[in-house]
Amino acid sequence: MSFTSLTFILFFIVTSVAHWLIRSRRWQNLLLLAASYVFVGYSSLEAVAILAAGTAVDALATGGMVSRPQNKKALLWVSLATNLGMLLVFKYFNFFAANVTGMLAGLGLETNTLTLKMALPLGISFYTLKKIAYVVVVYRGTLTPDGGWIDFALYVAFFPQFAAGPIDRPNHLLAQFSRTRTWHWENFFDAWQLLVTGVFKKLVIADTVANVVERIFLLEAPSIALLLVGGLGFTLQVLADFSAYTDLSRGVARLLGIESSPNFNAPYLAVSPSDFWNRWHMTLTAWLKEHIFFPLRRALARRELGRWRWLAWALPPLVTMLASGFWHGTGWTYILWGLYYGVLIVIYHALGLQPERWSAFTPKRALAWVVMFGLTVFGWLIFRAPSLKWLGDILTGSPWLYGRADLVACLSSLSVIGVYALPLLVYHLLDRWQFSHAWLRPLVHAASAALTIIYLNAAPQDFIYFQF
Amino acid sequence: MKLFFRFLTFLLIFLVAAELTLHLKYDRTYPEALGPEFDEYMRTRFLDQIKETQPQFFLMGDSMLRDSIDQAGLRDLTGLTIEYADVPGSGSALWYLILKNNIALAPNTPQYLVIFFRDTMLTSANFRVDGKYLAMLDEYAGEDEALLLERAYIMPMPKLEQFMESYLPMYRTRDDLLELSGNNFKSFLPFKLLGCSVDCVDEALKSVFSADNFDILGLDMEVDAKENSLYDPIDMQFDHQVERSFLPEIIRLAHEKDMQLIMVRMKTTRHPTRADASKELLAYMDDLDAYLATNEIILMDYAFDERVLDEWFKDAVHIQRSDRMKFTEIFAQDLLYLLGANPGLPVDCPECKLKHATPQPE
Repeated sequence: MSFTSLTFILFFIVTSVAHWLIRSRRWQNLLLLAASYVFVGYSSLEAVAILAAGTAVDALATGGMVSRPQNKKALLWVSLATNLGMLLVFKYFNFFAANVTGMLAGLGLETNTLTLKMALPLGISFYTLKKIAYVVVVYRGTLTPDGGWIDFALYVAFFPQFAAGPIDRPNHLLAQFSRTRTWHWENFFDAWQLLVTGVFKKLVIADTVANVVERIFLLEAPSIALLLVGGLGFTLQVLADFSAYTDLSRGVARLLGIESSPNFNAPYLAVSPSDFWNRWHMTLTAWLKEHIFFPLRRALARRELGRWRWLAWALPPLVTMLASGFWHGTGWTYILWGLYYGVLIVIYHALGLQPERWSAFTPKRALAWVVMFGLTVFGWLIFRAPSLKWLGDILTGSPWLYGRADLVACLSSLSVIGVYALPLLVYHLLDRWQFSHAWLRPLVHAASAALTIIYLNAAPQDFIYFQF
Repeated sequence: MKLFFRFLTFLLIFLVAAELTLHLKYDRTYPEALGPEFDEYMRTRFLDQIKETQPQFFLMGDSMLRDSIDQAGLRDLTGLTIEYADVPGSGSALWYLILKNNIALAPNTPQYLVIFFRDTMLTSANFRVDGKYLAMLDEYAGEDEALLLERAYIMPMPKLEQFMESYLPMYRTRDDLLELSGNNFKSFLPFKLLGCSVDCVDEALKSVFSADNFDILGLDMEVDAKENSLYDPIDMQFDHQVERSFLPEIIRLAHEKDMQLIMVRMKTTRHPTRADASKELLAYMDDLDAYLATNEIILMDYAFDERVLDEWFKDAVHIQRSDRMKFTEIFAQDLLYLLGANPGLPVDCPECKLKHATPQPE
């Protein structure tokens, strides 16, 4: 059920009206939980069963941590094994099976690939991270599960965040679920801008640019110039698409009286790889830092590594970014993309480059931005490529341009990408410099809403991050 | 709050301005009739074809038919006179129009009308009817196509969309506006830098993004994704869909013109075996089969036929050129067997090769 579909709008109206008619926190949460399970069940009933089973295991584990503190380490491991096990089975099983079969075939051993004939359960990558975060904070004792299983189950399944985040911290959401919510018009006045912007970014920018990008990446052997244009197009598409989803998710949550965390802070203005990850998918970055990067760095810092001490600063970003790539998808392109960022962070660190600390509006910083933007586009090329072989073949074998028709195709695609990048620039300027003219922001939103009408039903596409 | 009311005011100003501008440009009255408008021009390519060759068989389908059947090969193998309407990108709406406005108008209609389809295509009335497909439909539509409008456009349209179509000029004219803006956007740099106009850009894009240049595996996923609407839960509810589709009218027209309908259900690599198909799709297939049998329509079913190999397919639905003749041979054999096994069927074909027909393996 996409946020931009009529089915979702009807579903949301019914849910939110019922939600605001209820005066008790407990019943409000129960209603939102039921609505969230309906939302998940709309995609598949198997997804509901998997979600419910996983939630039950973690509810029991965290309940056990409180009632039997002496067993809490064992319960933590049970929970982690269940969560990661489910993610491995449902998301990565086929990937591993195919690769193992391929490797065995390479050794001359013919085997049949055992495949799991099941679509990836909606939202599993996102809610698994939320559940792990919850179990860990309960284990550490920084949160006591006194909200009961309903609040926890709602935290996991909360439908505005279910399909593609944001991956809010447990304390942040559960604190809000622990209060009775009453309707304030501020909810609406906070939400409408997010909703208008989200719909515009998705229907007008992301879906239109997707048409340009898709056909380039479908070519068997595009020229290098056309490939770079495709990379640039995807750079725009993925930001518009994912930030649109986040805006809609936050807007919908706001209409239910819940404040969700932001996920983006002008990521393409980043001047270094770590700066990029502090601006892109911020809730995922926060999770990765908290649960992989810092624990690993602490563990390595405590050890006497001798001449291997460089590992203490090099390994954490490498492992964290590799995990990020792995989390994003089941393909070597995603894994390499993650590793690519890990290596970039290590290189920047080794060279002592921290351009984010340099003063703004200087040629040096501008150069750092140009370099980082180029690296980001190349990163998205790896991410979007149908396969590593495809990308490798083009980069090593394709000419820069095939001829005039190819040049025209490049320029034409670039024109479209440029035109559709402009509104994002306008939004960015509006956010960055809070213009004193009180009419400018509503004017831009009104123009966006009016333009969106033209693009309704033009070329609807699923949100990119749904597949993860 | 102020911000929101300012937004509403600006939005209202934009919409009124758009209403006036578009009203002047397109000279429209509101509320408008729902669905697209068709011009009076009606293409008679297949009518002329039938008049000229008076075929016994007329085969109709989308690109899947073009890629599955070697036309000359089938004629040679069967000795039958056959004509084709293999229109890439077509669906049941276009097949209905071709039947009503071309085939049924022929003085001597073919004895057999054979329609190649896959899965729920026969009952998905709004499959391939918008955007570029609308232009194709317009070619074969007359000025008054009430059934087409009702089933392909109005019935699938939610009430809100019906309201927007009737009263919001921006929504109503969105295809024209998108085409206009799209043309300007895509030719901006090529025109500024190379003097290349819209036609020149279209020509270049056609050459760079021609089907021959696409990666087969990627194209397969693309084709698969584009057909997702055929597998929406509602599309697999036969009883719900059939009366909203063109199938009853296709059957009525065929009966009225004494044409024997043969439906050919093709294989797709999306679910090459029964075990791969969803239970909803299998239930749909059973319901369709029963419906066709009730209406005395012959079904040739290749959906899970093991003789049609997966490796023949270049994507989810299209057979590659090198294997086209292999399927043609299977089809010819089955067709001749079918005709031989049903002596009651009207076959006016003294020279056709019925005697060579072999029974289909059990």
